[in-house]
Amino acid sequence: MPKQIRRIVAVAVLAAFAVVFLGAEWRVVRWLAPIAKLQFAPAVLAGNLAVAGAILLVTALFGRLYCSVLCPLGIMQDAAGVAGRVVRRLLKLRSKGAPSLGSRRVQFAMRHVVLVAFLAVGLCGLGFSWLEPYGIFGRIAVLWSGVALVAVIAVLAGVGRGRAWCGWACPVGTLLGLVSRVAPFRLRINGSKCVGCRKCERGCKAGAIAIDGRGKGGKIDASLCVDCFDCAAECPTGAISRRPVNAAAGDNDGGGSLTRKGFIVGTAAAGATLTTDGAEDDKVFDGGYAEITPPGVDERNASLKPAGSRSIANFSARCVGCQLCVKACPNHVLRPSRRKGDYMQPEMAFDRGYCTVDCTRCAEVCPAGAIAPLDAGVKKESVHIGYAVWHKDRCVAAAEGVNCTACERHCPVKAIKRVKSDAGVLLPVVDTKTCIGCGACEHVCPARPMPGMTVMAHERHVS
Amino acid sequence: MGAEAGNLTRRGLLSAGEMTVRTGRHGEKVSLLGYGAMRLPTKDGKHANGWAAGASQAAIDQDAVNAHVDYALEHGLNYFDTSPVYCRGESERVIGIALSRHPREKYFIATKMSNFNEMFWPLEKSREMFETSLKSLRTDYIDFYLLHSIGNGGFSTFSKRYIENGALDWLVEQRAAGRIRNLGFSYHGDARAFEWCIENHAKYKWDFCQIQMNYVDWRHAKEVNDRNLNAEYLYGKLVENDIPAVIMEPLLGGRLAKFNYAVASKLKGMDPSASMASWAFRFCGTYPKVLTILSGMTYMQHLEANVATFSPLKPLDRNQLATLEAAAQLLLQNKTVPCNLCQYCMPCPYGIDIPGVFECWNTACTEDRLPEDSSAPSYAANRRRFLADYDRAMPDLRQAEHCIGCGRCVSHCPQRIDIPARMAEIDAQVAVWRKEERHA
Repeated sequence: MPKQIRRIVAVAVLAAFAVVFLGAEWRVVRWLAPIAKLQFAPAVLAGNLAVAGAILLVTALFGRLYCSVLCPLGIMQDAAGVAGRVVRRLLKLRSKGAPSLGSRRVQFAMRHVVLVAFLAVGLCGLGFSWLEPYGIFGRIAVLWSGVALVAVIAVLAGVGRGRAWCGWACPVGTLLGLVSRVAPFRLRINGSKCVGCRKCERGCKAGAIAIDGRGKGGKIDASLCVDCFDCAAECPTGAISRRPVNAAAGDNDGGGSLTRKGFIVGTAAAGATLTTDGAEDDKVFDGGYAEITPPGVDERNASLKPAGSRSIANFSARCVGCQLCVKACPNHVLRPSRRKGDYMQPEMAFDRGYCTVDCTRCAEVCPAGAIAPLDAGVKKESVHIGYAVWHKDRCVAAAEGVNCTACERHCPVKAIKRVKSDAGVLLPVVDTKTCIGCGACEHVCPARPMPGMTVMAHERHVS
Repeated sequence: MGAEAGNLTRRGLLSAGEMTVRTGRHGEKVSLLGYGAMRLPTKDGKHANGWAAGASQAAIDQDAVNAHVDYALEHGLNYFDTSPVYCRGESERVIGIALSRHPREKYFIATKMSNFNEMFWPLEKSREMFETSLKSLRTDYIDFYLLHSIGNGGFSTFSKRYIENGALDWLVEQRAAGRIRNLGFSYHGDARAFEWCIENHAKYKWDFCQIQMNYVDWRHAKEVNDRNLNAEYLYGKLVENDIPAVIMEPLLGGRLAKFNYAVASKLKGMDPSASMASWAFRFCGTYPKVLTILSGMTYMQHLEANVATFSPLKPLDRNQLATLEAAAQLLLQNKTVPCNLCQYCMPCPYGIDIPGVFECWNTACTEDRLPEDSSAPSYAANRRRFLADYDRAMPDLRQAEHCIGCGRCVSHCPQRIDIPARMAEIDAQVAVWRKEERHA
């Protein structure tokens, strides 16, 4: 029964995440998106102590229940594991037995090294970690580059038992694993009922179960167990159940890790044209189109971050790179950065749209508080995230003498005015103090290949 | 356009008798329905000059045009109107191929001296344009030759195109030589050009004149744009001078064929089975000095339906004319941009799909679903529908938002629409709808 309930909940959660990350155009996304706020690492980063505390408390009582029903990356591996089981059955491959003690030691070492590295990076204020599981799920779901990751995880999960990532590398899982060891209500094997059939051992997706060599009773590594309840459902004698420690006296289960002594601080595992040739003089025939090319994305001084980020540093320290805002942005402004400093964290570009002043979708969906909702009374029009710079050599008014009104007409804060040049052409001038960096001018500018306006980023937003 | 009538013909519900014929100045028996080759079908199923939301860049469908021409000649339609500039310069060649498959005396060719671009203003260049037309159309004479859109760009442009360079005198010589059988002009734009031609009728002896006429422009062209002349006035001048009238834009680029409920309820009240388009055609055909009425029939069903309307054309009585006048007044109440999708403005050097934008807007107007009153229950659905249609019709970079307001299109527009101003209005309105949609 618990197995069925956990399956239903897990599938529902994964489906919700899939909708949120894959179907940004759907209305229902608005209702489902807050599910991302229940993710552990983002909640810690956002200072959302209620959620983080609740997750820790549940873990301290019941074990890594979070990994089994709330983590989308974990549930996705379960799905891959199901596929792997089908493949194994078709190929008539036999399931492996329990991992050897040696491999358990390596596994233990590796995941703790990853955790230490993860915490170190976080505590040093370097922010963004590649290894945060929710962020990984987001990147897999949203980005093409995720396909490679999906393949790796699916192979690992399929070949292995289903939760390879959670046992070998996941820093959040390892952290929760430290807490789950003390959980009174975790799963245990009742040695007096166990008949040593090893069904649980073979089926355990986390590789957390070791049945004694004598075939009577065994141990479930609480730090690895992801609370899927498969073993309890599988056990023919009902020997596995969730009982408080005291009531389980006599069980052959020391609890805790099997390889406590094997923790070696070892290898650094943490590394895991628009053309203007249709101009008046050339027009001979009627109909047809001039070619269009989207505006190029120019080099900026730094990554442009949305209003609510407060500063580039604040943003980078919190963002887990989950891509939820990228997916949610209705103007297609946000996309993962390719810069060294904030690789995969979102930045803004205006080749497909600009940041409209009415819209705060990214701040609404961000689970990590990297893009926080604006303070009450602060309007987006008054948050300056950057300022536009005019390029005389590109602007069609300056370079070709065209009477172009594009940037002036679209500036939402009237920061662009056109003034008459000595040559008698109206040229745009930018009031950089008024400019908020929304990118409207950059987006609508007809100059190609690069637009005649480039928004430069403020390191610290001004409001 | 009249697909319903086409179906009726196929089902034998409309009798297709003989095509109504009018007589030209030199005794030519011209069918009252003329084939306009400005909106030819393309291989991707759109029409070559736009319409169907977004112009097509695909090649013209020669097989379809051949089929049109065969059907037309078989049903007595014998007047084919083209120009060197239509359909990105392809229209004459395609029509030439289709027509040359039939005996030359079976049809009349109308084409134009479309020397809009300054590079054609020297006489030899304009002459070259005429000779190229003959080659493209695979013939050694043109039945009806026109000075093309004489008011476009103002009177001085007209003068430079035809008078100062001696092109008009040269054309008169060609008429005397028999290479041009009928010499005329088409009029849009500056009224002075029209008046000048009429005043000089004694000298040039115009054989025909092409004007924009339909039941809206009859008395309301000036209302739509103060610089226009009402068709009633233009037609009156032609009658006064005994010049046969060729009619263009009888449907206003298809706008009069669309189903506006208020208008439809008036027209359908007179005859529920007659198409919207048929009333517009019959309006023009009612006037006896009309030689032929041009229709750009992109699809075979247009042709079938129109042939049915004209075989024979039943003139309207006074009550029916009054009803159409009432319908015209209803049509003037919506916020339509008076764009007939002729594509003279295209290509926009900055890539905007000008007729595509206007068509999206106009379709919503005529179908009474422009989201205007935010308290109306249909407002949100109409807004969503408009934005969906708009984004489907053209990519973001061809939408009104990217109009830079340079104004290069303005002088090309025969309807004299202030295109940059209308683009800015539509852009601002769309931005509001998009904002509302984000918060819906």
